[in-house]
Amino acid sequence: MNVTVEFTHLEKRYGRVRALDGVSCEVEPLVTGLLGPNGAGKTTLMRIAATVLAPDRGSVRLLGRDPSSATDRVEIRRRLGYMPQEPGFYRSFTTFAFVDYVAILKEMTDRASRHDEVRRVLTQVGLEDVANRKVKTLSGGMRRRLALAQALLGDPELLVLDEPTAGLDPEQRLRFRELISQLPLRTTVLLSTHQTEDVSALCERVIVLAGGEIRFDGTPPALAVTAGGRVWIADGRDDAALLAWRMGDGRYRHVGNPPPGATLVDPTIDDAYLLMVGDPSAQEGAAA
Amino acid sequence: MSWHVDEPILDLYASGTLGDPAVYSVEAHLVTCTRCRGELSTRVDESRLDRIWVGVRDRVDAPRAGIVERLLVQAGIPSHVVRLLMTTPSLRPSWVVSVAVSLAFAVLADRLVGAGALPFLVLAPLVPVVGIAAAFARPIDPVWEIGAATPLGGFRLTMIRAAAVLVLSVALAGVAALGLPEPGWTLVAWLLPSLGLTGLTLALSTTSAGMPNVAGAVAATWSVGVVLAEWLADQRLAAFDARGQVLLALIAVASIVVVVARRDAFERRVGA
Repeated sequence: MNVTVEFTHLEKRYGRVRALDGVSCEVEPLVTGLLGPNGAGKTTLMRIAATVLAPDRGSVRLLGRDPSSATDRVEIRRRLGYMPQEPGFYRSFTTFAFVDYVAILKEMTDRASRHDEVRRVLTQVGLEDVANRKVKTLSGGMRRRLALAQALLGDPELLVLDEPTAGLDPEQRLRFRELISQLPLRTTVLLSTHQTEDVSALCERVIVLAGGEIRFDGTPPALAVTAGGRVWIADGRDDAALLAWRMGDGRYRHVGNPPPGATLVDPTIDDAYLLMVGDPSAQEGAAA
Repeated sequence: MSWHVDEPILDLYASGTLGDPAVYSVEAHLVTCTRCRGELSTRVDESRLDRIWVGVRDRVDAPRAGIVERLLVQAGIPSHVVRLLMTTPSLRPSWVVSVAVSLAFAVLADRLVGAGALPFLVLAPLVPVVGIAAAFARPIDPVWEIGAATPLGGFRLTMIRAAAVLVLSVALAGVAALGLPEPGWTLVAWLLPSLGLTGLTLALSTTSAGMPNVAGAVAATWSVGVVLAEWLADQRLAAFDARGQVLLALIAVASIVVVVARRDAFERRVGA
């Protein structure tokens, strides 16, 4: 197993709030999705992976190096691309100028090759036609793509993307999936998301984080299987279900503990995720 | 089409060696003649076209350098370093104007009230301190989180920005000092304190206290210290006499040593 990211017993507190509580996992050169509700600790973990934040306790290894060492930290940053959850921009800069600035921070000091690289990543995210527009004139979705573009500079070996598809329309989301699937196979992609569709479409592995703890670590199909026997369909709404909604055919899909004789259906990742973060009995089951 | 461009003329045009009047004639013809355009395409050196296209694209896409940027590059500063400086919050025009106005008010206070240059001498050394804190204050620099994850975003960026802020601050204070009613030695009495306080701010920022907190503490200590020195010594501008200047020079030198020795602290992570 070629481990590129290793978290061991990570703890992080913000005052009384435990953002991470003993998180341990190993990540390989795959696309790994980090799924979890707001306040689960996803952004905290992303920032630690991006060497921006230090944990209170525990150890981290990224690309074979220890980010607690300043020398190693700089070396990791040479091979890292990071897209924060709320990226900031110099709004008066053009799209090209902004990516060019980040390219300089990534030590691309030769102007000609740097500009070639800037054009390459802007084309990758579909922003080549707005290279001369000021950032403040870009839509929210375009700015998200701009943030992604700067993360792709230099073909990083470790790509840390915090909510990369937030604010993207369906077409842009599909293009994002295409982009990620075209990355070199040696790339480790760690992406956090609320969107279970992104996980099922893109990720070879999914980690469910809630309350600062890992609730699940495995493949998306294995995650769906954890909801087996707990998803059913009925003509009417059953109030005992954890969640129920009316489908397009008029029947109700339920998630929770099925009544006797219920018509069970195959669970999806959404069902499993809901049970995992919304139902205490499911959480015990997942931990077992 | 009644005529077409002769092949030797096309060859000269393709190589870029055709004289001007003939070029205009050929180009006017090419706009309407598909056959000649097809002939031309077989004669053009593709690598030359690629070079021309890259040059055009670069002129269109590349960030436009302002006059200050162009002057700095002409002064010998590498263009990529100048690009980094242009994003320093405390080098923005609004900040520079604010500093200039503040220094001007300090000089004005002395002229109107006769404070013996004290307001100016207290304020001038604090200008680079506050400027450096602002250069790295997260609420002011919106790109801090992206920059923090890059190899240049630590020690090197800190030093580049700090040097630029210090140079600009010294220049502004130097110009303002010319307006003091009795310049004399007060023209330069603020210089060593500026260097000392700037160095001290950078050195102390290698601790976990954080740049803004350190800058605030340095500014407060300096302001109180100047007043205290005057009171204790019962002497005007006691903090700026020979002993004071030597002390601040020593602080500057010691700070440089600490900054270099603890440079790794600038490759920091939040919470570390």
